[in-house]
Amino acid sequence: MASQVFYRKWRPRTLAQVVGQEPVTKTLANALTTGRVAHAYLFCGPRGTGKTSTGRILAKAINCLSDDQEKPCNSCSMCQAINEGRALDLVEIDGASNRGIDEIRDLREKINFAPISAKYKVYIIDEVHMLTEPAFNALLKTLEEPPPHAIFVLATTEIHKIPLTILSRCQRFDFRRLTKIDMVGKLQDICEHEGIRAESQVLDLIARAATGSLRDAENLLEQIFLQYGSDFSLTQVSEKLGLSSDARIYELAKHILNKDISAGLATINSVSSDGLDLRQFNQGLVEYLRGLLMVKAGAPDTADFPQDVVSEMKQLAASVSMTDLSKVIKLFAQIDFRADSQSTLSMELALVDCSLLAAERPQKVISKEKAVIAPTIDTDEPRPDNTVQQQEVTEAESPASEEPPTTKIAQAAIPQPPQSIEQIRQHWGEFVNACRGMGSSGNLDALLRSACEAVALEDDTLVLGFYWDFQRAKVEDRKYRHLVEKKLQDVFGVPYRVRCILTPKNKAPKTQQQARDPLVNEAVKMGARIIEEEPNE
Amino acid sequence: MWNVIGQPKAVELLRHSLESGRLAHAYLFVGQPHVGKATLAINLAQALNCEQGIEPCGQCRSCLRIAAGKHADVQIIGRLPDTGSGEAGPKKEISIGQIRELQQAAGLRPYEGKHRVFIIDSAEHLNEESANCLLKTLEEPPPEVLIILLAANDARLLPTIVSRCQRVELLPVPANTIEQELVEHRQIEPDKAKAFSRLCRGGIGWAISASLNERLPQERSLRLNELQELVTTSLDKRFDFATKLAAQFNKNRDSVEEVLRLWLDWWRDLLLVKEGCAEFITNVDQEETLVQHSEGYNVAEIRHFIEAIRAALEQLEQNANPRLVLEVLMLSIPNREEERIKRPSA
Repeated sequence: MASQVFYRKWRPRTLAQVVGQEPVTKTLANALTTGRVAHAYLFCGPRGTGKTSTGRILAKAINCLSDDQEKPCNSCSMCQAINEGRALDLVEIDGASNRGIDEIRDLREKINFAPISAKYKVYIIDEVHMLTEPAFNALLKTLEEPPPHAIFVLATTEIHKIPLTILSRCQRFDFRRLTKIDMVGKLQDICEHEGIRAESQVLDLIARAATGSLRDAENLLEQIFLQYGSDFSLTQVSEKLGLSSDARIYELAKHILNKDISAGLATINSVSSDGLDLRQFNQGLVEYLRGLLMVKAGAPDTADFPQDVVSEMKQLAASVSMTDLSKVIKLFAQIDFRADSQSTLSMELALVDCSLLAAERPQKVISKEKAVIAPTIDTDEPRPDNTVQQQEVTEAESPASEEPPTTKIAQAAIPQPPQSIEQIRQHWGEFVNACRGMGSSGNLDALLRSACEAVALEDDTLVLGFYWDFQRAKVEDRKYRHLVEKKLQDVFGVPYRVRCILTPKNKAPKTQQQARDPLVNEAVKMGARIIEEEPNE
Repeated sequence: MWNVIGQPKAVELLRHSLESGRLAHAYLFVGQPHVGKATLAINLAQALNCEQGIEPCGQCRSCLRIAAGKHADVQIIGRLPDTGSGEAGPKKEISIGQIRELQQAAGLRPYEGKHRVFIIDSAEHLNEESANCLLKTLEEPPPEVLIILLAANDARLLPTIVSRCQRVELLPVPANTIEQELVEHRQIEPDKAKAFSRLCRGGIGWAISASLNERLPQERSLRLNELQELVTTSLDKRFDFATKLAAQFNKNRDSVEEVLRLWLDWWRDLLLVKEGCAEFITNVDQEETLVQHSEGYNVAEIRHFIEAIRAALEQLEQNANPRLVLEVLMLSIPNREEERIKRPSA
């Protein structure tokens, strides 16, 4: 192409020009001035942080012919040859394309020849993580003790794929992601030379979108420059980046928290049809919701929003509970856009989940109250009192009574203890589930699940009818009976005693009901046999 | 003349770069299927090699040869046809061998045109080796070489690949634009044009081929009907269908994915209708059926089945046993409550 793109044109040519990697460049500069250059370097770090560029600079610096302290000079014949890519002694190998053992053998063969014009032969192996295992191993000996005229520079983005034996033979330098300040500085430099007028805010935005990779930032800058000419505004840039600082984020947040699903769906679809990047939009949304959380928690300063927005947030935050808010944030923050990035489906589902969350919650609270295991925050009364009261209540009641207890104290917060066998049967499944993990081998629930039913309630004694003697004997055993009794109190809040009897399995109606399940029907048709049934929840 | 429809921004960017002589050496066109990525890439190749000027004229010998895929300097690299299995589905990946061929060809001077252009179609099918193999060439290709990657979803590409390209995003084409194009330039009846423009969801290529080929929309509705029947049939039939689909999967992966995506769209529509947002549905021609069916489910059921389809798609991609995956999917079809359908008012 006629002109090079920014990231090639503005590749750093001296160590001082490499931005944001002071620990690396300083060490290398010191090594160069003291003449203590190692024979193998390994540069690793995320994309666009200067690994390949530093490798080339290093190659120039050790071969530079000038007498200056500052190396490389970029003016001597050697430096120029390397800059133009025609130096025979700089061998840049694409490790991902030449990854086999044969290429490494070839390298081993040629490395012994003395350099042609330079002092050192420099081998830069880029994308070294893609070498095959035999290739790595073939390299080991050469890497450890190369001929005195050879220097290796390995560069990779994926350090974890490099064998330890290679790592220990190299001097390793970790390149960091660039900070925003470093990046803005470099971008400003480019803008000056290219005659681009850009506000620092604009460059700030670009730097943020590039997430620490200078190459990404330079690419973005060039693209914006090509689209809008040398003079562009903040709004143009945010439009190009798909950053939607628009009101629809607030709108959607409001719909989510008000559980207005259809309005929320409409917002999502309008955003998508306007061609905004949903990933960015979602990010903005999560940030806003996080702000709400901060405001709700009483730390509006951490939210980093303008004052008028914060006051608006305060209103919105007042209408929702902390748990709701955190759940909503989780739902939206977890969206994975990798599967289909353009489709609105992921966000729509998250939105619907929010409404489902609201529908599920009341049930959960009830079941929690039923299992008075620990006093919940809502319960004002301390637990021991409750139990005593309930106990009294139950003892006062006649066993067969269907009516609720007459003496009710603080009943609002305390769940009603089950007074009839029907109520116990209703929650039998929950009780059995609660028994999971109890008993000597943690299988108490299995003994109860399909082997017995609650037959009757006699005073404070619950009669369990077992179908088989084995289970009856087991549960009759004092050890197990205590466990069951304890669990009964936990779940129903009443200290029942347990008596076990043997009853014939008489569950014709229930079996039929179960068999009505189309899945079971089909399975039976296909020759399945019902071995064990679990109560439907 | 640039013949990409509904992408003014992208065309503007490329035209501007051409005029100012600042074309990058590597582009990444991102956009959903059928949105016009390949058309734009071919246009760009024509513009670079056109004998008339810097616009693709579409008339000169070079432009015609590129359009016909006969130009020696414009290569399209995609998944090779899979000759191993019976049906002519493409292979799963773009292999490292293909990329090595590209590298070799890139080293040669242009043969008949001015620039060598390599178009890598559906770049997300580059496997790990081939993607890494491309990196160095992509960063600093020889002069007079342009590499264009086409991808539906750049999140699936290596970040190191994306960072080396100029990323150009092609947005879904607005339905009105498609409708207008079909009516004005392709002489399609307005009602049909309207239906096609919605069904394609911004992928104008589908709308155009549907308008040229009656079979495409017909096949689509046939498939949809088949899928809808599954909901009410017995488990036997569902399993039969799963077996059939799994057999098809072994021959041609993409077609199965298409079926599942179709189904996913259908259930998304159900969800939207259920929540009272009928204006955003995909299957505009089936709105009545959708309304009727949505009565039979509650939101949670629809939600869970959508998740099941998505899980199935993901598992298929991860090489799970296709028959098992599909059978599990069949088992999780929620039961529609027929009574609620009979009495829609209730």
